[in-house]
Amino acid sequence: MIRLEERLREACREAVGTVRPEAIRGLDLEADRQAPGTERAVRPRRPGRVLTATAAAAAVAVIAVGAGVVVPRLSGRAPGHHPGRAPDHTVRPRHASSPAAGGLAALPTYTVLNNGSGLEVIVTATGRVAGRLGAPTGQAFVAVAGTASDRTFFVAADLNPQTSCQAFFYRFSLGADGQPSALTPLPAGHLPGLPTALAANATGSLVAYSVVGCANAGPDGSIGHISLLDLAAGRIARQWSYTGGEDYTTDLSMSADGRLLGYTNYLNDWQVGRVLPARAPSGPDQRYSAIVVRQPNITAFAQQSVTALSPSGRLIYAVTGTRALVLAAYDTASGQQVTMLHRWPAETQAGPLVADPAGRYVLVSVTGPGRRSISPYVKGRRCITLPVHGTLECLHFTVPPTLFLAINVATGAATTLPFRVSARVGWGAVAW
Amino acid sequence: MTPSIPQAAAGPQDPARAEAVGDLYRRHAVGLVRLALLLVGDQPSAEDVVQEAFLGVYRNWPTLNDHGRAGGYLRTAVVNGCRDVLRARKRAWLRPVRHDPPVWSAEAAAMASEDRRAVLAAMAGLPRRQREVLVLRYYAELADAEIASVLGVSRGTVVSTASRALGVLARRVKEEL
Repeated sequence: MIRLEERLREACREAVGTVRPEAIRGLDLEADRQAPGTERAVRPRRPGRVLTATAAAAAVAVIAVGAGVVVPRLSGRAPGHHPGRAPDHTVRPRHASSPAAGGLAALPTYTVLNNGSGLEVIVTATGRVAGRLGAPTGQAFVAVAGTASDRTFFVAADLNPQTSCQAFFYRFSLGADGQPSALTPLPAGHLPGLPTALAANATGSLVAYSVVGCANAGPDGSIGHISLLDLAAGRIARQWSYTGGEDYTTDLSMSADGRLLGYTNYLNDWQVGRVLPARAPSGPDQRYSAIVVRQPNITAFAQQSVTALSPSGRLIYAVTGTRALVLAAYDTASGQQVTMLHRWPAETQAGPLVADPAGRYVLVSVTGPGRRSISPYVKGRRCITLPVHGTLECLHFTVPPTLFLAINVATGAATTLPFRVSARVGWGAVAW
Repeated sequence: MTPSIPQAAAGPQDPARAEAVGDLYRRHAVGLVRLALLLVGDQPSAEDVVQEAFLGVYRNWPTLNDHGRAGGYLRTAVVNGCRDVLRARKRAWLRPVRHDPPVWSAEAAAMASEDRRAVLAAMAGLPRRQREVLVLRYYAELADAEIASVLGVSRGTVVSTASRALGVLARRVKEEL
């Protein structure tokens, strides 16, 4: 029995280890002011935790259960939602309850999305565009990365059109209403090469980026590099070079403490997910990184692997697979798969993967299979022509919109977020 | 990195009271959220319960006889708040969110060893009172008399409940008594 008691103590200690002091929201005594003198008039519960048994909600829930997803309640007043009171993001940690968040109270308040022509700041719970930010004249955004604060983001850009090979790096912040500030160039924010990926630690003091060169490989065989930029010191602290056989990465991520980098590139005929300690000396990345996930890249139709480190750096989430797409978590220390979170049909394209800084969700973009259709050819109308039984037909490809899913890393439950884009999204297109 | 302590966030009408409750919050919030997590299974609900417990202390501050015992009051309020949450879930036929059991809470759950998961899963299946006793005894490390005070039962009830709970748990995790 003594052993059982000890096992109980250990199990409890381990379970509560997920509660991080810095992630607990502050005490909101303002809630008490809403109804002074009323004992239980104000219950500062996270919205979505309270049941609203309206017929409409019931219908939504029935549909949701049938579809196998949890649909957030996106509107309506919930306890903790104080109409007429401006959202006070300054007094709450990032993952505190958001009045409009419905059942997704723990999600980051804002999602930043690169739609190709600029950045959109989207209220995660509602899909409302709170702000927009265009790239500087003559540039296009390539990748965006967030920090643990929902205020600070980093973005990489290149020239548009690419008249030369230049990479630009900026920081911007969001106001209380989600409006982005102007872009601030980072200390080492203008480099030769094309940016391919970007990541930041929780505080935003460290930024990692991947740049690939436009010319031939250097004398050491490197084609590009991952660099670690120490913003406090204003210098590049580390630089790890790619070699020709491994190609460059498009999905860089960093642990919250900045000690570990995660990314995907190639090794011979394999796509591999790697982890690289940030304290490793500069040099070839292959020398200092460890392979955690691997997938054969034997056909052109193999799904591009995508990875994202968990905030703690203990796990790396990866979407892999050829016959079916699988989102799973792997132990970065052992490479063992520790849990399988979600599965999609093989025709699905899974895009950028972003871990929620609080460690509760993984954001993944998903695009269904494209559809082909044929219509009669009309002279003068541009289309891909196809001879069918001696006559010309027009061949159309339709790419379905890209959806964004929040996958609960504890349960694997997938929630479709209330925004989408009309095409596939590129690398680093979305940030939390 | 030293983790930051949760701060009292807002400035209410009575600054002195707010400061006192804020200080309590800084000292006790993390432990109480962890306690609540073990009882309700997910951190958002646990934080809600703790938040409400502190609001209760704030409202009743003038009527509390011994402010030094506010910690005990809070613990009781949290346990009661957890009961409310669990009762509400039982009644719920419409669940807007899924509640995660502590065994699978966030990413650390995936890392939990099989043994811990088995123990926690077995504990989650116990009746509420038995689970409360075990959590207060083996996580909060309270003496049986203190547990009795928190739960509003006699010390003997605590001892017998704990004994039954351990027996059931031992069978479920296949440990010999």
